[in-house]
Amino acid sequence: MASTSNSTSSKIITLRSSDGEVFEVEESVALESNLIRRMMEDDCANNIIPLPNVTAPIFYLVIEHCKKHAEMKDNKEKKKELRSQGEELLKSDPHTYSNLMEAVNYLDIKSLMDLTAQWLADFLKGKSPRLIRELLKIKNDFTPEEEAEILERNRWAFD
Amino acid sequence: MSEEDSTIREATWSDLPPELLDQIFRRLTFPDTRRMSAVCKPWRSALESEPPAGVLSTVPWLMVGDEAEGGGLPKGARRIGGSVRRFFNPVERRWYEIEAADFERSVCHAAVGDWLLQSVCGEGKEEEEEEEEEGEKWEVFFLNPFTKVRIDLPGVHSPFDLGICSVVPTCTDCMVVLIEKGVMELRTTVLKVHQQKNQDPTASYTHQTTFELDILDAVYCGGLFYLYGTSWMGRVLSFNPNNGSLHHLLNMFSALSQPLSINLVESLGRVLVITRGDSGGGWCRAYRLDFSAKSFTQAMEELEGQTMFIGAGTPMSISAIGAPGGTVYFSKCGTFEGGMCEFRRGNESNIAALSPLDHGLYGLPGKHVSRWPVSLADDGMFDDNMDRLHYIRMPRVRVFADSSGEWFATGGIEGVWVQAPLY
Repeated sequence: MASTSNSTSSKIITLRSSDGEVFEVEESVALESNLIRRMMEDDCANNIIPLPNVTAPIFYLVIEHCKKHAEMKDNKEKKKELRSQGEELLKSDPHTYSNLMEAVNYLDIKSLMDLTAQWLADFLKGKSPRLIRELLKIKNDFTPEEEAEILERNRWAFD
Repeated sequence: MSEEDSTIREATWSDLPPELLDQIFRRLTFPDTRRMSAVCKPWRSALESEPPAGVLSTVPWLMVGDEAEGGGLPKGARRIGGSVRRFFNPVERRWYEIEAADFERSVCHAAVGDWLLQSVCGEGKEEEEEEEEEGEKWEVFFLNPFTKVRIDLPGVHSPFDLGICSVVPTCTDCMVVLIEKGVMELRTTVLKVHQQKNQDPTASYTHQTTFELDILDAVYCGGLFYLYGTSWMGRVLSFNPNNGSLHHLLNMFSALSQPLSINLVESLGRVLVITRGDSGGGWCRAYRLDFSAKSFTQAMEELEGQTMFIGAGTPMSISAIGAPGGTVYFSKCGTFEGGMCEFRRGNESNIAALSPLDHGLYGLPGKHVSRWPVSLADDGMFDDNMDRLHYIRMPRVRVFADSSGEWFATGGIEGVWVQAPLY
């Protein structure tokens, strides 16, 4: 069971990112991650938990989002604020956003996965493949023939 | 250095693990997934794999006819010559024009899942038509407008009006009933589709049955086809496709307080009759049929938590996820414009809102829709000499070319609910 985010008697969990930085996180926040939860159940509770797939800046972002997500429950203003921050990050630094999503996926944080995936889905909606590539800096790895074939097959969707 | 940096950037979005891509793509509509499949190869592969169970977007699209007016054309004529059909996706509130060569000159008779049951009049298609009436041959086929896959069925000699399919044609036990309406007579043809390994399925005709009934609608439920016909006081019959037998189940028209339309829909394993009327600003009622007791009861509770899409040959009932519950949508059929009824929870008989197609979930932007007739006599189609039963009859399918060689169709089903795949 996830405890409430009241900090009065919360336990502190120590985590280490892939680049060696050590984070001290309240248990209630850390337990949002199913990965960390499983690791703690497997008895790493009193040690430093290593996170070999997450760098410090990204992990910092994850924690920020987790905290804000806990605060935003039943708070429309906060919800909006978090959403616009997410969208801002997606626009200004899509690379970091993709790393954030990967970290959230790796750490198995369902609430954040729902949020970040939904923001991205909303961002993608109605946009052309070309625009998506440009905005997210994705390389077009299709040959011109392959691309033409895909466009032809679903021409109705690309007008 | 900066170049290296940028290659890493480029790789990132394409390298997301499949389960993560799935989390993203399952939140998109079908047209968006088509667009995303053209972004890069890893995205395309993720979108070409099977979608995860339970995430199919179930709100159907509405395929509508290309209405044509004037020039001596009969009322309700629609163009069928082109290879493009128009689809409205209510979730995006957006129109799509989908092209498929097989649409040319074809008429739609039914839909099941993302498949359409089409027919094409062979007359004048290859060689100039001869003096024959008998030799007139109609091609019958399933068409998936999204993948353009076509599954041919054996042709028929005369046009049919309505089709009903048990399941999608890619399933082993797909059965299709073709219904042809004559004067006080109905002929059915049953087609069984046989799946073959690595080959197109074949289909064979089994039984042909002729009986007296002017049919309005039919559905498949639990191994039987159910037909609603207005002759002989509005009968519901069951039709067993395996032996061609027909059983009278119940009469119910007298209880239906003069409806303007009567449709069947299968919902959660039950067969419901949905009726519409015009008195008091329009009403809609749902009845549940109990075949073992040969009885029916008004059952508005069947609508709760369900969204229903009503239309001859293409009805469906879905659990109301992503769609309003307790709501019935009607596609256009015969003299009826489409409409929508929304039922207040817990209120058995009142309609909270009833609107033509330019409101509600299925609002069609920019399309003028005439209001429901205030009374039957106000509608030009209604002839005082005709009784009400005739009025609600679904017109027969007719296909013809005008002097310039353009092809038109009248009758049959005009609004078709078809489910778009998610991926």
